[in-house]
Amino acid sequence: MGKAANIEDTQREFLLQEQEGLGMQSEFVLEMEGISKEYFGNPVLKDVSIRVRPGEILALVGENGAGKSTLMNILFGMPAIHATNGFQGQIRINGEKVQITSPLNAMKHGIGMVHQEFMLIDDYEIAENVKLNRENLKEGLLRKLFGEKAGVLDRKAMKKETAATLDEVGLNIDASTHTGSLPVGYKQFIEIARELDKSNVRLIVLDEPTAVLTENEAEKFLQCVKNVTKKGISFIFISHRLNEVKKYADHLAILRDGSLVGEYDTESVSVRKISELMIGRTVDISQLEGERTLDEAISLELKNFSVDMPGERLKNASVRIHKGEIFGFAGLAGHGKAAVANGIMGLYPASGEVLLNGGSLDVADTLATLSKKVAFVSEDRRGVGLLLDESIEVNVVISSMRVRNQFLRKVAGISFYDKKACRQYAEEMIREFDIRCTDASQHTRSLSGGNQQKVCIARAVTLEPEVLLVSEPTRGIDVGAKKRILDTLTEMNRSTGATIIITSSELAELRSVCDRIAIVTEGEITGILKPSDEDYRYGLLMSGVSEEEEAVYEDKKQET
Amino acid sequence: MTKKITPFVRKNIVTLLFIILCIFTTITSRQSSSFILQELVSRICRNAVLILSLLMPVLCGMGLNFSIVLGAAAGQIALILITYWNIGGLPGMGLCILMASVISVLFGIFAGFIFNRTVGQEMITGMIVGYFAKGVFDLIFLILVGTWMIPISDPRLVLAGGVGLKNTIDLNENVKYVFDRVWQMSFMDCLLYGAIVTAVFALLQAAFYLLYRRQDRKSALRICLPGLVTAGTLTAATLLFGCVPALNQAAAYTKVPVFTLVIIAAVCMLNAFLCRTKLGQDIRTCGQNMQVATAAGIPVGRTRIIATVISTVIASWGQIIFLQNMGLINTYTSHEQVGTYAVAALLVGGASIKKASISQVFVGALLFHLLFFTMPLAGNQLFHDSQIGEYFRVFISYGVIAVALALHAWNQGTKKNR
Repeated sequence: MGKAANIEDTQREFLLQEQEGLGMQSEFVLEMEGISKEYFGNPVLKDVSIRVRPGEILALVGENGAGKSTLMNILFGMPAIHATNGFQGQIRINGEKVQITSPLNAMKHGIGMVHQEFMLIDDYEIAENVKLNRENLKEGLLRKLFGEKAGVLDRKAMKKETAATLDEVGLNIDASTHTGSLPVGYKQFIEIARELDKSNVRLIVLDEPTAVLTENEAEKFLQCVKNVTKKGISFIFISHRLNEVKKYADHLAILRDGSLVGEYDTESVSVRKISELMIGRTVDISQLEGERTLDEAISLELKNFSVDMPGERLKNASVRIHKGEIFGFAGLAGHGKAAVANGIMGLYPASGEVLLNGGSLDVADTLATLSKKVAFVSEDRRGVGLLLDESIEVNVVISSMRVRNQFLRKVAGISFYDKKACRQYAEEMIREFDIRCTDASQHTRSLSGGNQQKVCIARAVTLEPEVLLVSEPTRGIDVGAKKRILDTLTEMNRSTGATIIITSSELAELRSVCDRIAIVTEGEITGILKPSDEDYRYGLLMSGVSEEEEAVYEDKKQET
Repeated sequence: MTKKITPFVRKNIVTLLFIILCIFTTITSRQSSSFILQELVSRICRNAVLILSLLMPVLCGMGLNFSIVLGAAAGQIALILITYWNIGGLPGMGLCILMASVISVLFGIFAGFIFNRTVGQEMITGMIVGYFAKGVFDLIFLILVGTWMIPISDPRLVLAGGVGLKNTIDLNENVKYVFDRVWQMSFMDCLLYGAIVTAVFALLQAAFYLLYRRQDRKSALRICLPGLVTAGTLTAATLLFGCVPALNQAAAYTKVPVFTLVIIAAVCMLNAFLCRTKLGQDIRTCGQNMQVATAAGIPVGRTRIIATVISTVIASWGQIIFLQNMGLINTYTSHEQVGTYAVAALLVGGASIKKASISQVFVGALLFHLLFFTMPLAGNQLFHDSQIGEYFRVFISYGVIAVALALHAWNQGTKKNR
């Protein structure tokens, strides 16, 4: 009863807002016109204009560094913009010219943001997160005397209103649930519920909202976004996944090097065309190479290998990987593919047997594993992958110094860091991998994602590994850098004969470089396929149907 | 079974260690139960507010606020002023608290600004700010007092040379023990009346929710449960102290300063109330995640300063209560170790730099101060040298902080690995 009344209330509010909007006589909820921005004389946005109609999804696509974030920072009045001499151009909301001076100010104008990283507090209830800094307060004497801050929270009202909003986004969950206990897929819904709960919200910016979601979750999430647009709320949707853009956005704007290079109705443009415009050159990642004959010798063998990695459990995996092979692990996020490399490197407790060149490998002893010429590029670049506050130079050589005693200079029996050799080597690597930086002494924190990944790979290569484990080499990286990284890996495989094991969520990429691909579903290897195998077989394995079941299914089909 | 016990032990290892130590020293000190009870009651009442002042910064994610030394100094300045002006009694103390509050608001803002520049290192910063404050305090009261800058020449306060305050200043008769004397009661009566009052309160609460708010029996019971449990515990304690002869005597002789207890209860309630307000929610959000707080438009810097100010102001009240109970001011040392002792007591109670509760304040005050005064006595009994116990005392207060912090880091680590 109460809930229904509440939903009616919110609907009435929306209607009121629409009437206000009509009063303004404007076709667009947001117009950003002729936006230009320089950082220290370096133009990052050149005369960009975008417009969003009510109830529309505008996709904003472009490579990393194309200017998407700067544009959104301007929209939000981020302090960084105003600290660097502001910008040219104007912003109109509902046809009215506005000055957005701070994020708080942007919120007052009805602009909301769903961040790429979750802006949620795990220890809070959902209601507390949704109502963050907009908590319902009880009436009271102290509140009248000392203002809002002295008001006591009205938790009951918070829960009730949150429940109504959660209903709106189609999430059937109790508002007093602990946020930390929710699966990742749900958290994104709560982020959007928080924006929707703001009574004046007109436009929500989604900054790569699906990057952390599985395909399935992403679909549900975007469906929910689509439903919300029916209430007249508009979205700006930033994504690297062009298929999603194509499927869900109404319009799209393509940015390249700070300029608007195209604005289309999504219906009228192909994914191929979009990616062409984005990078300004044709890429074809799915071009397959001819099949190679593999070396008979086994490089790495897993026997009943289980890894206890939270959120990515792997059970009883057995697989043989040939010498000189590029082997892929594919599967949905959370199904355990990430645990393979992490388990072999001893980052999480593991059981079962691992054989390297026929000899057994103690995975718990990471240093021993490294010295046996096994190297690892982690999926967690910024966490365990890089020393963010050290230079590129140090990042490239540090593992070799530790494991292989390279880049050291002995003076009176004590090893010192050999600055000259390191610098020389790092500069060589920067050239070879095309790492975009000022010089080898630049801290890796300030590099873009793609260049950080190149540094990680350069470090692994420095170890001259026989087996190289690479996890998610292209996550969060623009298309151009992706290609370069995959090329580097293939080149290395061909020239040194190293075995490379890639774990990736991007199946198309794996298929473009791997000799064989294992599909990990619900913690188990459900099958090993060749890149040339048909799409549907991949699909079946990922949905947990094993090859045998598939065969039975095929037989039945033939019978009928 | 072990699976349940091990995490419990690990979580409360500091507290458990202290319970064992306290039992040991209490027995070896061979003191009468009435001495220990009397000493314990007066020490808890004396220190509780100082320890309570640490709660807000912990909630705000700033760790343990060593800079409450600033608040203590503010309280001391106010006390010196009313001693100089010769005012006292409850109205005089009211003025004293008011002045201390004003001064400590300024000090709190100062410390808060510095903490905002050193995010993540508030604890060490707080310690250094404390040392800095002590230096300035010494400069003003040892060097400047008595000169043309602060012309005070009261022989009760100023050193014989005419410059600088005396090392110890005796409080006026109408300031000494002023809160403690308002209303005293024997420990026994205190337990008995306490049990009655809490029981009546819990029943009234239940009646209010059942009849006026028309809630069902279950939720009404849940609301009044803490009150009932407290009443039950107090009744049990009354029976225990009433029936065991040795304790009976101790309980009858021990005087409890009820008014001071009321002040302590008021500060607890203030804390609990603040937690339920919008300000409390903002403080908690800042403590949980500053980035999220910023993104939600909460003025993080301001909120952190407010938390520091609240802490400093409560600390100044705490120091006034502490000193009126002592009866004299050790001008240059009274405030010096306030931070360290309060922090150690809170940690002994089982708090960490991320979480602290009111109950931990009292458990910590009880254990830490029990150990604090029994240790020299135990040392005297065992080695015939109270000095050894004295050394242990210092060693223990710093040791507790180090061990508790290390254990906390260790617990965090194991949690992460899981």
